[in-house]
Amino acid sequence: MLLMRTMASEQPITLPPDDVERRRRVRRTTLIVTAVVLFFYFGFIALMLVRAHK
Amino acid sequence: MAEPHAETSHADHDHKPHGWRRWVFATNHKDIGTMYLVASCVMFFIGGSAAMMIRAELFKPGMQLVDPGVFNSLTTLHGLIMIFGAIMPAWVGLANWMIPLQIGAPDMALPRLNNLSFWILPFAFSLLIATLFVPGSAPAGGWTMYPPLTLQFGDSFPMLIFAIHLMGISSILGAINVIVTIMNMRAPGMTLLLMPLFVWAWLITAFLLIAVMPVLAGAVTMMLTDHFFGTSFFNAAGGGDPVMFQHIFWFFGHPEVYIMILPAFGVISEIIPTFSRKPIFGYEAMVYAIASIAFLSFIVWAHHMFTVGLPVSAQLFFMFSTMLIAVPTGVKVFNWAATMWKGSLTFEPPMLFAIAFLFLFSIGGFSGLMLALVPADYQYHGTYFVVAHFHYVLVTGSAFAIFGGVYYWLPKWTGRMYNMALAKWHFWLSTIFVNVLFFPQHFLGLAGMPRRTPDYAVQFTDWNMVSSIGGFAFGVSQLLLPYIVWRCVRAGKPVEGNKAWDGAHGLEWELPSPPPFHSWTVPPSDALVARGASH
Repeated sequence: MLLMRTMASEQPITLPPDDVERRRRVRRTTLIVTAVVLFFYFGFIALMLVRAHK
Repeated sequence: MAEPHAETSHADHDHKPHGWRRWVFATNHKDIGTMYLVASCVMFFIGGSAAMMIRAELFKPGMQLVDPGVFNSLTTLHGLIMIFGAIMPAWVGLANWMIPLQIGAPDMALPRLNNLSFWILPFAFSLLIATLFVPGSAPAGGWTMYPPLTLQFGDSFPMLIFAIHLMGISSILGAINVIVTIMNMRAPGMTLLLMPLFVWAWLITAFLLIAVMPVLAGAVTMMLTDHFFGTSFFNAAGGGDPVMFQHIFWFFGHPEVYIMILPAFGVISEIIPTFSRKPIFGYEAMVYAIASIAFLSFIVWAHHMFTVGLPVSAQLFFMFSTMLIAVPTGVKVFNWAATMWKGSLTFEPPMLFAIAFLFLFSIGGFSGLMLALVPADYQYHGTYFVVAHFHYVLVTGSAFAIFGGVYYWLPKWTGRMYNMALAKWHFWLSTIFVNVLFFPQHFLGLAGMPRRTPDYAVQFTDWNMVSSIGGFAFGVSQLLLPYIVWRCVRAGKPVEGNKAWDGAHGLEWELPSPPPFHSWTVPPSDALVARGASH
């Protein structure tokens, strides 16, 4: 409930500790997965560039 | 435990936005799920119109309706629209609707990202369809976009590449959201091995998406630089290698097939236990089988290109690794059959589609095994046998599972029951005519009719006519689906209680029908989680 209200209104609310922890985990997982995506994307093009220069 | 939930549901109804803002600025997983499903339905009919024109052209030998260039554009756009516009968004729509309900979460973890993922799609597909109206023809090199052919199209080429990028970004953002949601938003007490199989299937699918969509993006970016910036990644004259594109494309393309079929496995694993009134047979084996199929999908790509001149050792490796996929797939099919064994079966529309899926997807699987055999593939490659194979996988596999999923959860979404008789008509017409449409294409392929051709030798006439008649009937019978859904929403009989089906288990069935706009604002109790996990 608290989570949804914060999402909808953007008003600063003091979150209970478990919600703070959950948000931290959401942020961490998002960053890790995004890093994997970017690694695949740029890694792949870099790999091809290396191959193209052989 | 249902009480606090019902209580909050009334309060939360007040927070529902109204008018166009509700949809344009949507962050609610149910609204976004609905938008995905509606968009997917629209694209299904646009892609279907292209298919009808293709079948009309192929009704008899000679050129009838369109010139060969337009025919090739139609096959290309049909493939791209159906894969990226119809099947994938339908699965994302079902994921949006069902994952939070099934894991006891109030919403997806990243609701604004969810909005962005959806709203990218209309721009992507407008761009793709707009290629029909630019000088120099729409893309006509097939959905696989092989260079050098695809590099030869004029103004439509950069539009195609940009559209692919947008679709890829949308899918990646959606996949990130699914992973983050499942990893972090599960109800307390819901361990990974208590999750419903649809959630498991989607978790694994999301990992496939983030692994392979960037590869497709990389491949089309390289093609873009070849075209506009003088690089020679795939240009043999500059020292590049067009076959390399095929390797890269299929490194994406084969897992892409599983991206479209793994969620189908999840839906079928929800439907069959419900209408068999038994827990799924071998829950953990089903999870490991999905994971195994996903892993194997990364090491089989070259079976799409046996005829380009691979070394024999590579052909053998890819042949055996491809055949290995039959093992976890077999585990799944036998587990579904074992779930039905001695069950108290009833045959409502979702179950009918699930049973048809079992039989017809297996036909697609068996023809896939035939194509995996290198010596045989030299005969089948580039023929209508391949067209028959992948349509059995994607139409009677993915699309039938989507239909089954929609008929299964529609009463939950709307709180109303649809017209069962009409839905059964939809099932029987679809099942009969999809076979009339695609089964003869096996014969055409074995007899040597090439795919992607607007004209053919006269000996192929009869089966092409049969196939086209099946195609028209199948296409028209699909109009029943939006009608049934519309009638259900407008005037369906209200569902009594939380469960639309007496054998249903899972957290989504603990919620009222329809669920409140903000559901699971109070997480479900451990007891409710345990009751939902029927396995």
